[in-house]
Amino acid sequence: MKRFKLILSIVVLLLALSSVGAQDVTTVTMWFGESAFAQCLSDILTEGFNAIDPGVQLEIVPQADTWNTTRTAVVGGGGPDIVRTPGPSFVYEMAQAGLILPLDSFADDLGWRDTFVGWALDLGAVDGQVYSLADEFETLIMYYNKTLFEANGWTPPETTEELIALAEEVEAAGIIPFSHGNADWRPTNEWFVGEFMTQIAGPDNVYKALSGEIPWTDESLVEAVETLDMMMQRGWFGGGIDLYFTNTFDTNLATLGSGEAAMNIEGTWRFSNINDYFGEAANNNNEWDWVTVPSKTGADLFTIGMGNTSSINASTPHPQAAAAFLDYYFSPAVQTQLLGSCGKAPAPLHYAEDALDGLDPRVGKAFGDFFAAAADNRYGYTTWTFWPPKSDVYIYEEIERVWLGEISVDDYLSGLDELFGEELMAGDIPPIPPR
Amino acid sequence: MNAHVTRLARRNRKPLRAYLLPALVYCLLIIGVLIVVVPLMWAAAASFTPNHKVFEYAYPFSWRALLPVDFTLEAYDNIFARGFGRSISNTFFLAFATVIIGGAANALAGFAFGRFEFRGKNALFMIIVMLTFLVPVDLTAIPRYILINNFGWINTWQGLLVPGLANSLVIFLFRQFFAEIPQELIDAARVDGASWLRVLWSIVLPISKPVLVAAGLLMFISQWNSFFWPLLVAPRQELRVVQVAISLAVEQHRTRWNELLAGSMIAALVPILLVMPFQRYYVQAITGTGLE
Amino acid sequence: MAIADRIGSSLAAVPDKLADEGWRRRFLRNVFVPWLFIMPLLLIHIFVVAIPAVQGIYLSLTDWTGIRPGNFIGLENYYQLFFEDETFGKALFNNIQWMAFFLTVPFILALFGATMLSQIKRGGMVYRSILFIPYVLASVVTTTIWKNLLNPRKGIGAALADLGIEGFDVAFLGRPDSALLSIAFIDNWHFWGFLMILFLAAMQAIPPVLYDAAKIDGANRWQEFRHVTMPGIRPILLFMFMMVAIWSFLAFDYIWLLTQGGPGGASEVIATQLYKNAFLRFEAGYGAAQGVVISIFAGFIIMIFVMLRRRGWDI
Repeated sequence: MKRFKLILSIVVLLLALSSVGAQDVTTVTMWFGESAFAQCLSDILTEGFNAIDPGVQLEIVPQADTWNTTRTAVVGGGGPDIVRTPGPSFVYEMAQAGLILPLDSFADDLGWRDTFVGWALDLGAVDGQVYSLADEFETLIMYYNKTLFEANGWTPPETTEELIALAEEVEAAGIIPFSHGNADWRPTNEWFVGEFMTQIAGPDNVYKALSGEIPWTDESLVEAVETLDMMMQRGWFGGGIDLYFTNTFDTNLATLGSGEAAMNIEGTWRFSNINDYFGEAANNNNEWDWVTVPSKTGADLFTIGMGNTSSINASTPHPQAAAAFLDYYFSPAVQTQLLGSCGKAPAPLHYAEDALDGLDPRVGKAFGDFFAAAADNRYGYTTWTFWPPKSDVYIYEEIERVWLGEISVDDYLSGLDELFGEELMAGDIPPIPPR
Repeated sequence: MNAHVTRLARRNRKPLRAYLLPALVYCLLIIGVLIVVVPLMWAAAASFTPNHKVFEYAYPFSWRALLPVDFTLEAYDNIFARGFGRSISNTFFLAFATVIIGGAANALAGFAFGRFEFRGKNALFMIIVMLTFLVPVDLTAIPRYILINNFGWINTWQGLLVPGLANSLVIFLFRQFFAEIPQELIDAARVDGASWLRVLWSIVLPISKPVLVAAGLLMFISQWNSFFWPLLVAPRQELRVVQVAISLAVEQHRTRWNELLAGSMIAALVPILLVMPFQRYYVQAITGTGLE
Repeated sequence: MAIADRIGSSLAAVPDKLADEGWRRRFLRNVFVPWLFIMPLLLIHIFVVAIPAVQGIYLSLTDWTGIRPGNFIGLENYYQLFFEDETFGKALFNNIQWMAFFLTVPFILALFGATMLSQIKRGGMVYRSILFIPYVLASVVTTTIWKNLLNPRKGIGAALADLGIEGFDVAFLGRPDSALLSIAFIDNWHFWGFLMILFLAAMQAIPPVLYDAAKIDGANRWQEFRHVTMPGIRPILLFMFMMVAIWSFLAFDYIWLLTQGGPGGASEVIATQLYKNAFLRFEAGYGAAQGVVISIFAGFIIMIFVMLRRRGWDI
């Protein structure tokens, strides 16, 4: 034991010495996945931030499987200075465990309450304190093969009714209505469940259900899931239920691009590589465009989702420097640059009118409309950002049993209601911006 | 006449049956080999293809998918430009260190378990073997990470190396093999006054080639294929190992298939080159047939 | 037992000088030296295996979320697992099906392949290498290849259908009745070559004299296999039976990469459930309990083999 203590103190001493040696330059570390995209972000951020203050430098470490490694490292008392998580429910856990720092004093000092749009800081709140900053705001939209639509004289639908009528027409023409499939990412299922709930039952009802005012078995929500199930049963998703389960993202996009399928409800993250499947790059003469996912009332509704959150590791020796980086990163100028150069989905900040100029007009319009809708209360909720973790897993796992005819829509929703009730009781619900 | 015909027929029938069975067997073998080879050929061909053309012929499937018709070294160039060579030498170093240090520790312990009688021997052995089966790695990863972090071993060779030294299959092999060595050999040396370490070194090890090779191979290959722990404990680029380097071709919303396959082809070569010449020892070590 | 007897009897045979050792020598031989030899490995095990494992067992008795430290809740997780979680039984049943598949199909294929290859005199190394490659390919690569080849509209099945061979253009991975079997097929594609190499090496270690003797006795191919080959490879066969049985309870990566347990839970096994509980549903304590249960199954299998060995089976 004595020997062990001796070794330990030598190690501690060495560590202390090494940090003394490095004191003149403070290094803020951050982990990113390694990809062309991450490399693009990394280059811009390192160059921009490191020029500001030679005494505070940013180091971005490329790290595959980023979230799994971050979680293990942070729980184990290590990890990067800037902790990025996939969403609010993860922030909630980390904040409860004291692994990340509250950011309120930084938010006040550095003026973040003005930089971010109204409800954005609240999304990172745990027990009244801000623990994370929301990044990569994303939504689901409906991509379609514009060339195919024009050739057949189809117009993009605005209401659910029109959507169903169009799908029947598309099917009759021997084309797959929706190029959907989940073989690469099983939670793809939840995109559709969440989207149909918002578009058919309406965001108000979803909000009420999320805050426990109405049960998940409410008629409007039953209708939403039944409509989804009907479309799946008719083989509109990917050409049949068994095909839906075997279609990869590559298949989905390739069939949409080639015109074998007509539409695809997907995330705005797809802007980053959808062009690989259209036009010259894919040996076809087709073009894509998008519309909002049709709603029951015909209103343009966007569901809000979050790709990432950023927090400060509680074990960091230099929280000030980390906050300085966050302040740099979450500035309209940097976010716009990252969007323009790398296609990164922007953080929910206040942007100047011309911030989206210079982008592909379809992309610019998508983010413009989305931010306008979010500011204007025309938004709904994505399951991966606003549902508590167990209910979220239930949403995408059990819906498969509905589609396979093993359980009914009513069984599905009452199961969800029960599980959600437990999580609501335990208080494990991510914050929801009030309507 | 009649008898002659019958005899002729019998003579004819027998060769026919004798040909039929092997023909069937060979048909089955060919189908079997096709099932193995076709996907491999596609993978190899695709690694020499530009990324956007990887699925062009595989999808819909045609024979062109099996040959690199759009030949390019782009994928190989790209992975080496991003430091794949460094990852290979890192992994070699790590795997060799594991074989030498792990081999020594496991051989010593295996000798003790195989040749000595002491209190609690079997219980201790069972515990050591069983605990390693306490899966899953992902769950024990957090406590293990905390420990390694407390030693200050994050982003160091020690952090990568030490957890790979404990391998229950290896100690199992050593114990089994050493227990089979004839007692007379050891007694003779002991009578001559040799120490136990000396006995192990100059009497036991020289006749233990099969188990040494087999244990070495096992440790080498498991270190060569390790992914999750290196990813976790040594995120720094200078310490990156092969499997982690390969996985970087898989991005969140897209995958650089040709680079993934190129990396995998190279990574697969090393174990094959090692296993093929030594496979005999592997079996001898497990079955104990290596001792004359 | 056998070892102890042997050491005892041979000790009696050696000269007095050794048999007459004093308590000091006995202490050295029975306590000090063995422990000294075991110490390096024991230290490594304690730090990287035992402590994390014991912590894992402790965590299975808590409501740990995987991030937030948990409270001690006794055996509640185990109670829930065995008496309340209806999906656990289904997953366990899938594991058992998986084991049934892997204790038969790859063994038959490997025995068949090894028998065939052992008769080839020239170029055997090339065949062996080719058949062994799938074993060392990363699982991500294998699953990617097969996901595409098995695509019903664009893969091999569709190509065969174009040639007039119907019946393979089916979404094997997308149907609840065939998903698990298809994953097992793909995993086996990667695995059986390893078994074959082992059996082949064992077959080549059998003295040719035995085969000659069998021929003189007029044995046919089957009898030769039954009475010469099988006894020769029995130790490695049984050892691999044990290992495969244990691995069957750990099956994870192929299932995760191909279906994540779907569709509708049709290919769910204990390890995929564990992963979901621990890392997606924030019930890591519960996941740890599932991990402990898997270890207990592995322990049972080892015990069975140890017992068989005591009864004189040559493993």
